[in-house]
Amino acid sequence: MFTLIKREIEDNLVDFLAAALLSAVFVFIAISLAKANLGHEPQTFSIGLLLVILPITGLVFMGMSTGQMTNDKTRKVSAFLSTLPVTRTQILLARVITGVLVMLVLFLPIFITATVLMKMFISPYVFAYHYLMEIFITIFLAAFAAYCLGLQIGLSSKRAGIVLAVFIFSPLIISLIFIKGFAINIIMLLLLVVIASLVRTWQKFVSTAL
Amino acid sequence: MAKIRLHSPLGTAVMNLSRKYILKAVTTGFITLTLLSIALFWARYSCESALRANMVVAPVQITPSGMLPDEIESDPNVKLHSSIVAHFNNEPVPLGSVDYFKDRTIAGRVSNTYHYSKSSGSPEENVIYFDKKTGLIVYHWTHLVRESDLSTRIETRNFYAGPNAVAEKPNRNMGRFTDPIEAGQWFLPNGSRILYDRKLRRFFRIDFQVKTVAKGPEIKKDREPDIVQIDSPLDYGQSRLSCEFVPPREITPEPIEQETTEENRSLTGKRTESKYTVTIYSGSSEPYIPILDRSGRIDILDRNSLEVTGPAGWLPSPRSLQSSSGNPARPKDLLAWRYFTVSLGPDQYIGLVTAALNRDGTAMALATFDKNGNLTKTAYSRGTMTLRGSQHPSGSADAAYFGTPWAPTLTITKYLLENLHPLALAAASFITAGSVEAKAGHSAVFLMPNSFIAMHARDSASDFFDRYFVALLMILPSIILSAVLAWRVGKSAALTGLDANAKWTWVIATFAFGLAAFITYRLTRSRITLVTCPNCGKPRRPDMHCCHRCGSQWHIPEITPPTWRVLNHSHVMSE
Repeated sequence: MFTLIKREIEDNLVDFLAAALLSAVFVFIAISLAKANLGHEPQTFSIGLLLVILPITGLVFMGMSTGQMTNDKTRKVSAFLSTLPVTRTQILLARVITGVLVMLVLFLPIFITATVLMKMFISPYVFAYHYLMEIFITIFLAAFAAYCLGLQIGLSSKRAGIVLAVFIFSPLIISLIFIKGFAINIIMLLLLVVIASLVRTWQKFVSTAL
Repeated sequence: MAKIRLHSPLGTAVMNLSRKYILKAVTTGFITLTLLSIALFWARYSCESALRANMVVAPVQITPSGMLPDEIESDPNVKLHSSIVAHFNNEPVPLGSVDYFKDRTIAGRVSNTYHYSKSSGSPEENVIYFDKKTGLIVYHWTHLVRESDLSTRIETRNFYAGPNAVAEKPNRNMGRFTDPIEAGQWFLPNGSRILYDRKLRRFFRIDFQVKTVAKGPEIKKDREPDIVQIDSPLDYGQSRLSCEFVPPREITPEPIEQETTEENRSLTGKRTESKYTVTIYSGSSEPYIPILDRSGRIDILDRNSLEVTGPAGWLPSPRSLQSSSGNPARPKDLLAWRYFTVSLGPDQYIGLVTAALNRDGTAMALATFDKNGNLTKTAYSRGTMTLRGSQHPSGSADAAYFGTPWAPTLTITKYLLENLHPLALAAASFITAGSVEAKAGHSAVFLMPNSFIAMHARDSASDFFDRYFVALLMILPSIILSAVLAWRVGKSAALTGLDANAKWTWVIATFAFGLAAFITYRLTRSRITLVTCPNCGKPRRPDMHCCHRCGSQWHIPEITPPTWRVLNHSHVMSE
């Protein structure tokens, strides 16, 4: 399993580098926004940051997962791996774990920066720090939902359809955050989308001819 | 799917196939429903925002206010009578992400911080918050103290208030607050503060300066105040709805330049002045504290005795598109509201003013009540309808939906979009119309609390027949669409080779979930090539145990052992 994950990481090294770069950009934006304002107005700061981060991350992660699946098909990676003593479930699991790792590379530095900036600039009486965790979980799940939908879309054989689906579905799923905020109801909804999407992808992946 | 026989390996395989198919249909269906609902939400939200943006928002006014004694209003020097003016803005309703931050910052609905002030560039800080762990209200005070030698030091003090006492250190004898609601957010922390605890069912007055807690009488259980708000703080939509009392004014002969309001412009060159002291009290530092309960009723709390005195008024019901006004409006049915008491001089209470904005932000109502809580005057927002080139006055909600340019097109688009939503969810929106909070309703993705059918459901004036028959008519396009899609699915299911049970499940699901179920069916239907059934001659699925048309099993020829044997040489010899 570790070998599979290592192989997936090597295959998606570009995604890791892009995530790290994007993370650095977002951290820079966060620090600039925090310096530019705001004493004790977390709304402007947080919404400003989210408006920048969210649409990009949705597209990035859905694009990444569809890329993983289409590459798999074109380079016959799974077909080769199936000749070795690994199951298709393990192959898919390694792929999903890699996706989660890329997400952590992107989000963890931003989360840590946001926490530090909040502690520096905003009083806990104005905005309690534990809400940051709620925000982080929601954003992470939204990105993960976009990633999982991308895996499912990537199984399709129509390239034009895949591109169109990525550009339609990633803003839709990410916009859920703007509609609902970060409370428990959206966390549950995103969890259900993630589970449904993963189950469907797994079902299709283990039964499709490679 | 086809008949399942558990005892046979083929039956088990068919059951696994059936389970897989159900899982496939459910997961695909959920994702389709979610994505379709989000897309439809944005389309509806755009229509609603455009409808509101097109509205011509005129202020609602009551002149004379009817609250002041006749000797003041009929004073010959009074040229402009007292009035109450309310405005509302037609900006798009903020969605969940904005509300999330708003509710969690100072004095927000979820925040435990009631007051926070900090001087810029100085460590001085004043905070009043509810500590959930200890159940105490904490006043945290940081101050810069100048010593006699001109040096400064930072002094920090904490005061803790429980239902029984205020002290500088918390102790068990202070008791615990469980579910407190605090009065308005703009009062200075050094004044006394009023709060109500929902569990303890009492009002409390806390004074941190003299370190006292005054406890009001327990509110009897038979009288359910279910208080949602003390005073009328800013976060309940004041930015969306504003309301003010304008005292009577007399005209003096001094010409002026700077008067710019509409009223004063008509009296060119005259200064308007008020000599009447009409105090508008809307704060807990004042003697009359209005409190709002869940039913929309407003009572007055006596600041000194902490007793609630009879009804002072209620929130008026705006004239929405389908609902009639008249009944008190519940806070949860309103997008915004305002209320304040009016007093003549410092202690002569003369009445209450209330204003309310309806769920979809298209209609407003204004009401005044006398000192006994009787309704004296009401006014409703008005608009103009353009019909065949001529303009006619109408209610603002009617004008918003049909009167402004492009309004009919946007209204019809919104209606059609609502009818693309699954029938089951439209029915659920009808049933739950009154239970979803107005503000939350604007962020609802699956239900449609601001749809036409939900508006109709909230119309309490309609009778049983009207309520259900008109509701059915309203979702007729949705019913027709669902029926057509269900018929197509049924037809396709028969051709694809689904058995009767599976086919009817799909037909019912498509009727209930409309477009979402239809897309799911198209995405998940079997693409197996059918074979001819040897029994009925019709096409049947090769992966099913029984024919889905005639129920016959596969004809498996019985293998009987041959009567002859091939014997080798040793056998022949032994025989």
